[in-house]
Formats: sequence, structure tokens, C-alpha cells
Amino acid sequence: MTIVSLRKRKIQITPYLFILPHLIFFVVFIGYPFFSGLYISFFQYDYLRPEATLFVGLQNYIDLFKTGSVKFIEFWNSIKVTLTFVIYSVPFLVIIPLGLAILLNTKIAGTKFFRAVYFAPWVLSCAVISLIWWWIFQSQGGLLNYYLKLIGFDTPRWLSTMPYAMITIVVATIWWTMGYNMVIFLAALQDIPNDLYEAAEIDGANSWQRFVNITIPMLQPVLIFIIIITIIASFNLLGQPLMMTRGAPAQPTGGGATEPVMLRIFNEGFVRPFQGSAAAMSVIVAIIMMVFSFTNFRIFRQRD
Amino acid sequence: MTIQSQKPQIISYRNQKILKKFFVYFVLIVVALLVVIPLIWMLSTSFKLKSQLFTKEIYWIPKVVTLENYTKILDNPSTPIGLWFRNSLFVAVITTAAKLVIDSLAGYAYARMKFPGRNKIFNLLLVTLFLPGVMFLVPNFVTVSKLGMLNNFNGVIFPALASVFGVFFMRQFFNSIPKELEEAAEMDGANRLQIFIKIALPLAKPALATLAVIEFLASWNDFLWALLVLKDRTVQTLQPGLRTLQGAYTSEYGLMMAGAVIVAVPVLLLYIFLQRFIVQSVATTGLKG
Amino acid sequence: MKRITRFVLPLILVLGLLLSACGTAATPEAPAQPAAEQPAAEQPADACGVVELQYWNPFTGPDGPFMGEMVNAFNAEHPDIVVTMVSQGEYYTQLSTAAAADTLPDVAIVHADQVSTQAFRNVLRPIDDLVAEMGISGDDYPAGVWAAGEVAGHRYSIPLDIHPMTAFYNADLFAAAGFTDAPKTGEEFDAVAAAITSGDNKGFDITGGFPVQQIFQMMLQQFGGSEFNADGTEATWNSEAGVQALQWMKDVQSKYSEPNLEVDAELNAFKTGTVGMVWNGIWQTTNVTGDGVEFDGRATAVPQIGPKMAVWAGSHQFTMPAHKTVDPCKDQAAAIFIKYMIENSVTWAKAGQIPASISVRASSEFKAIEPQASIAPSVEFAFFPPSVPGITDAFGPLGEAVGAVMNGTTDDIKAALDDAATRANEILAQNKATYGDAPKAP
Repeated sequence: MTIVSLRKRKIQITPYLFILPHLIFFVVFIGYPFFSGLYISFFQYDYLRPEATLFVGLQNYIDLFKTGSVKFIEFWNSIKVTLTFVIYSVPFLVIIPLGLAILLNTKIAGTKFFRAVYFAPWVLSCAVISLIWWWIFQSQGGLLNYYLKLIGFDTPRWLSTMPYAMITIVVATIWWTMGYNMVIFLAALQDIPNDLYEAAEIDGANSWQRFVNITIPMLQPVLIFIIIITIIASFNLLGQPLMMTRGAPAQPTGGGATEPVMLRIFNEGFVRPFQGSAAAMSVIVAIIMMVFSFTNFRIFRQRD
Repeated sequence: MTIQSQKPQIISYRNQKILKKFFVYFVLIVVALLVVIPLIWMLSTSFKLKSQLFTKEIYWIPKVVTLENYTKILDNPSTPIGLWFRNSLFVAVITTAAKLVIDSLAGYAYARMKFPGRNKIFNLLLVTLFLPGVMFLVPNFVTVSKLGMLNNFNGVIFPALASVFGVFFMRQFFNSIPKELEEAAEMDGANRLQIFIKIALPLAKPALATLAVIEFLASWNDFLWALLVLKDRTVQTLQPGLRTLQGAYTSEYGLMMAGAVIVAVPVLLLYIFLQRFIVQSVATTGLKG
Repeated sequence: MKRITRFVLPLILVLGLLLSACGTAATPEAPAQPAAEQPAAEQPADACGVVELQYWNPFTGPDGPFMGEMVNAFNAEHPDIVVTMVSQGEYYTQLSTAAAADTLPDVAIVHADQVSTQAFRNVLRPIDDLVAEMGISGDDYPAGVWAAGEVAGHRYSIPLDIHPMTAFYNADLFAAAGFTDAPKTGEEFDAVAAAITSGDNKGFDITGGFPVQQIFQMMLQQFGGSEFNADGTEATWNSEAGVQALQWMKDVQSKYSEPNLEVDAELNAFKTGTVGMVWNGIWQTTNVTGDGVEFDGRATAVPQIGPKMAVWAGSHQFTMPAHKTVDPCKDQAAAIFIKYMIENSVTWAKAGQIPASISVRASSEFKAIEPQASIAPSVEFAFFPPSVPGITDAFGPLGEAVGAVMNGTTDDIKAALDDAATRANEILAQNKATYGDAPKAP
């Protein structure tokens, strides 16, 4: 009896011991900050001046919604920049990788080689790819404008005028991350049973019909996954503009035309001493992101 | 009649196929060039003399190949790129190793053990997967600062261990393998830890390797958090270090490209050797997610 | 899968080997604190033994080695003081991080416009007594650069250098256009810029990014305006002078410059040898003159365009960061170190800076250093923003307005400056509310 009960108790403790190491870190760095972030957002707070901490209620939020104030302009401008980036980049980051995956899914020699090449930039870091493209897009001495001039095209100021500054960031991002989406698409394409296509071919479906009626429906779960993670990743845009355009070009009404919201939060909380206000911005961004992901999820699910 | 009309049709069908193949290769090669050219340009620039950067004509192969850029950044004590390299490696290896241990333990428990609150806790973890990282930026910085982990590798390693992805990934894997072996071992009187170590872990080698690759790359390439927490140049890692390099020199693109090469080459080499495996790892994360 | 283990395992082994080499790096160098805790105020200097000082500065670029040379010279002459110099990027966030971790250095360089902010954020401490002990006084410095180090009635810094906006010119292009001297007035500037501008060649390149806001500040002052009112509570750049200044810049851009250039593009273009003149900080001297270019690139003082001479300048200043426990031995040593560095700042001039100290500038040693010596008189016309915390934040909207006008995002100069002033005033008010009137008593 005692043995059994002892064993039973032991079994009850063991699972908790297994999950405990992770749970400790989880509680300290995900659970706790979830609430403390909310808490800080109700304060005027600077970690270097604890003596100046001041409860301000909803003021940090109110400031962000006060039309015409600096915080309002800069914050919502940066939200607009981030959303613009999401809208410009996500379609390309879905369509180009899908197209490449379809090409690589044909039975020709060398697909593994191409797959490996296309994926390569993804293993590089944001800082590396930003530096490379920053150099290529330089208006003076840059590679791109040199060749554009050579073949008689206009040579835009890529890094300092709109819409080019946004284009540079989108191009660098596509170059960097398209391989990731492509590989996932390719794996999904290879999972589609071949007899589906063969049956359709016998029924006389052309390749476009086969794509629309077989490939797309079969890919749908992966497509949703890709779109959602690409949106989330695009929302987190920071390194590329930080190193390539530094937010330029400036706008007369305030804020940089390529200053994304992450950079805004970074500046507010870590360059200027307003961690409370930065926390409030983070909360709003988090809500926007969750609404975005959720509606996406709903839209695609409803199609089912 | 029928035979005659069929023959040219076959040829044109074949032609069409060749044409299609040609088209596919054309597109594939153009895209491959677009991918590779920036990397070659980075390499080429890194070997150029300062005075050869802004010439009226562009040279892909430098007129004078120089190692000046490399020696200059390696010699500059305020951009100790060799030290940063070791720091990055240290952080990435420790983070990856710790994650493998912690996440496989937890993932195994959530997959295989029954205990009160299991589903509730696990669902809670899952929900946070959908919370954007930006929410944690300010509060975690404050936490890390209060714990005295600023300018300290613990400040980047510990927060990384909180992430739920690895736990989720390992749980999915353990759920997908048969239980029989473990049950047999339990009949033989092995305890849960023994079963986990001797039976489950060996089976999980491919999943662990996948997780290792993903976490290593994530840690190696981490920019923002490392930028915030590791400020001192002795503890800085490569990614924020590159930004320091960018700020330190104006229009010396040769130097900056040399820095980029030093940061990029290790991961590119790793990639070339483990290419097939890394690509497959990524593909599995997509399907499992 | 076998292949994976064959690849991964050796890899992990290799990494493991490397790791053992990294072990020590895991703990950031603990600052040596030998018997530092005991109050040693009354003890004679030799009771301190060998004092170690940490000295931080933002000189990560080509100027770093010059500073390193000075530190080495100091160490060689002072066997009882060992100064370790560290140059850091991301400098001010780095100082904040170190402040939070109480790992600030003993001596740090801070820019003139940051002294007040860093003082209010408890990064720096007042050093009135030490400065008096050192025998350094404001008489040896231009008034503006000295005033920048005073915050709420206390002295926080001692100026090391002044780095003015400098005119760089391509003497070969000048000669080809029939000019030998750099322009000193607006008319001369126009004449040479117009003569050089033809075909692919441009007379004067100006960007829409850094340092275009600084150029605006300079022109604003030259036309008789100022950025802020005297106590730094209100932005005043949207004056008549402001509009004139920005209009002049816009005109010059459309007549002589490539349009809409990004940050540093004017320097890159200058280096290709197709640009007659650019204005940038004096720290670009080695980059765009001498060995940096394949033509005769030269540096000189900026011309006087408006009715009143004024030159934008920054200044590196010596400060002493705050610590939980003050160590009199270190304070003593730091004072000796700072005084030495100021007195020997002629070496620093070689890095492309102008010493702030008037007596150093008067020395024959400095007068032999070109082009610094011939640029030096212009620092007498240097101006500095009021010493209030967060003043650099208030410049943000100005930078945006000037950048927007120069990059063609807007044509309405007056409206852009007005708008920027309104936003800056809001920021100034916010700063005032957050920072209060004086730093926390140390």
C-alpha cells in the first residue's frame, strides 16, 4: 500500500519537475512582463530615474489619441509606415515564393541546387543584408544606379525619396526571406498526391485549371500559415530601415516616411526616456497585430 | 491521314515541352543570379581599396586586391570583431543547448504525462505564441535591468529560454511517435526520467537536430534584443556590432562589407555543409505549425 | 539521418572547443576595486597606490587611435594611474545601460548638447569642486562651449574640443574653373559654384539628411536668428531669418546640387571628384582630403553667407559619471587625467578636431597643424543650444522639416518651420514636465 501510494505521489510530482525549468523562464519573461507592461503603461516611467516615477492613469494612451499632438502624429505615422510595408511586402512574399516553388516542383534536373541557392539569404542576419542592400542602393557609387545610368534609365534617390525608400526596404526583405516561404510551399506541393493531377489531366483540365482546382485548395492550410507568419514578421520590421534609410525621407508633418512603429517604440523608450509611453504604444500595437492575425484567420477559415 | 496529322502534333508537343523547360530554366537562372549578385558584390567590395570605391566605372574584380579592410577592422580595438564573433557563438551555443534540454523535457511531459492542469497550462503557453514580441520589449528590459543582467550574457540567454515554440515543437514530435517502447520500459520498472533519457530522447534525435538548427540561427541573428541588452563592446555580439561598424566609418563601404563578410561567412559555410538538412528542418516547421 | 549525426556531432565538438575559450568572456570585466570602499578623502595621494580608471568615449572611427595615443602617453608619464580607454558605439544608450547596471566609467566624453540630458538622467555628477581644484576656468574657453557644461547652476563638464562645420573643396575643379581660393562670402560662393556646375559636375552638393539640419542652424544664425529662446522653452527657428536661411539652402540646392541626396551621398559624390564643394563636420577631413581621394581635396572654414558670421559646431566634453559609491582616489586621479588631456589636446587636433582651450589653440604646436589651424578661427563664431535636458529631442521636428524641404516633400518653407516649431514646443513642455527643474541631488 505504502509503496503504491508513494509511487503515485512520485508520479504526480515528476511531470511538474519536467515542465518546471521552462515554466520558470516562461513566467519571468513572458507571463510577468505581460502584466508589468500593462502596469508600466499607466506610469510616467524612466528606469534611470526611479525617483521620478509618476502614476498618470490613462494619460499615455490619451496622448496617443490626441489629434495633432507630436506623439499622435509620430505614432500613427509609424503605424501607417508599418502597415504600408505589410501591404507592399506580404503579397510579394507569398506570390514569388509560390511561383518559385511551383517551378522547382517540376521534374527537371538541378532543382535541389536552385532551392539551395534561393534559400541561402535567409540564413544571413538582418544586419548583414541591410548593409549589403544599403550599399547597393546608394545614389552615389551604388551598384544599381550605376547600371541604370549605363542603360539610360533614371537614377532615383533610392534611400531618400518616396516611394523608393519603401521599395528598397521591400526589395531587401524579399531577397532575404523569400527562400523560407518557398521551402515551405515546396514541401507542401510535394505532399500533394500525384494521382490527383493525373486524374485531372485525363479529364482534360489544362495546367491553369489544375492549379486553381487542385493546387490552391490543397495548399490552403499552408497558405494561411504562410500569410499569417509573414504578416507577423512584417509587423516586426525594424533592422532594415534602421540601417538603410534611418527613417528617411522626413515628412513636413512629422515622422519619417520609412520609420516603422518598432523604431518609434525603440526611440520613445530607449533613446528618449519615456518607457511608460513606449509600453502604451506596445500595447496598442499588440492589439492591432492580434486583430489583424485573427481577422485573417477568420477570412480564410470562412472560405472553407 | 490520321497518322500523318499526328506526327507533327507530337513534334510540336515536344517542342512545346522543350520551350517550357527552357522558360523554366531561364526564370530559375535569372532569379539565382539576383540572389547571388549582392553576395558577390559584398565580397568584391570588401577587397577594394578605399580610393577604388567611387570610381567612374565599376570593377567587379578589384584592380588591386587588398586585405586592408579586414586588417583595419580586426585591428581597431573599438570594433573587436573577433571578440564579438566569440560572444555570438557563445550566446548561440549556450542558448541552443539549454533550449534543447528544457524544451524536450517540457515537451515530453506535455505529450506523454497526465497531470492535473496539464491542458490548461499548455493552452496558456499556446496562446502566448500569438502575442507579438513587441509587448515584452519594455517590461523585459526593466526586468533584466532589475535582475542586474544588463551587459551580461544572461540578459539575452534567459529571456530566450522562455519561448514556447520549442516546447510546442517537441510536444508535437513526441505525440507523433509510438508509445510501445516506453510502455515496455515502464513495465520493466524504469522511472520516467530513465525512460525519457534512454528511450524517448534517442528517438527524438531528428527533431532535436531540427530545433537546434532553428534556435542556433535565431540566436546568432538576433539583433534588437542584443542591441538593447548587450551595450558594452566587450559583451557585444556580431549583429549590433555591425551597426557600430556602420556608425564608426563614413562612406568606407569596403570596411563595412568586410565586416559583413566576417559575419556572413560562418553561417553560409554552415549552410553549405548542412544545406539539405537545414532546408528540410525549415520545411517541417512549416507543416507542423 | 545518419548523415546528420555525422555532420552535427563533430560540429558540436568544435563549438565545444571554442566555448572553453569563451568561458571568461561570459562575465563582463569586473571593474577592479581595490580597497576603494573606505573613505580616503584625507589620505595623501600616495596612499591610493596604483589607481585604475575607466575612460569611455564615442571615438569608434578613425579618430580613436589618436585618443588612444594620448592615453598611452598619459599612462607612460603617470606610473600610479592606469587609464583604460574604451570606445563605444550607440554611445548614449550604452551610457544609460551602464548607469542602470552601475557600471559607468570614471571618466566619459559627452557631447555638449547631451550634458544636460545625461545630468538629469543621473548619468553624470556635478564636478564644481574638482574643476576648481584643477585650476581650469571658463576664461580659457569661448563662452558658448563653456556654458554648455553648466546645468542648473552646477558644472558637469570641461570642453575638450570644438568640431565645427567645415567647407571641403576640390582644388582641381576650382583650378579648372579659374579659382584658387575657397569662397569667403556669399557672392564668392555663388561665383565658384556656378562656374563649376556644368554637365556631370556639380558646384555644391547638399543632402536631405545629416548634416542638413546643422547647416540650417548655421544659416539661421548667420541671418540673425536662433533656434530657441534663451531659456530653451520655445523654438524660434520659424522666424524671418529661418525662412531666409532655408530658402537660401533650397536655392543653392536647385542651382548647384544633385537633388534629393541621402545621408553621406554628398561625401560619396565628392569622392568621385565631380563635386566642387560640400559642407560637413571637420571630422570628415581625413575621409575627403589627402589620401582619402584621388584629387586635391582641401578643407577650410565655411564662408559667411548672411550678415552675421556664425558656425555650427559640436563639442566633446570631459565628464565624470555617477557612481553609487564615490572613491576620492579615483576622483583625484580622474582630475589629473582630465587636466593632462586638456593641456595636451594638441595631439587630439591631429585627429581632425579643434582644441577648445584658447591657450592650446594659441600654441605654436597647434598653429603648425593644417588645415585645423586655418579652420580654428571660425570656432570663435561657434554657437551651442541652451543647456536644458532633452534639447536634442526638440531638434527632431526641425530635422524633419529641413529634410522634408530639401528632399522636396514640401515646398512651403514657412509652414514647415512653423509646424516643426509647434511640435518642438510640445516636446520641450513634455521634457520640462518629465525632467523637472534640476537633477536629483547627487
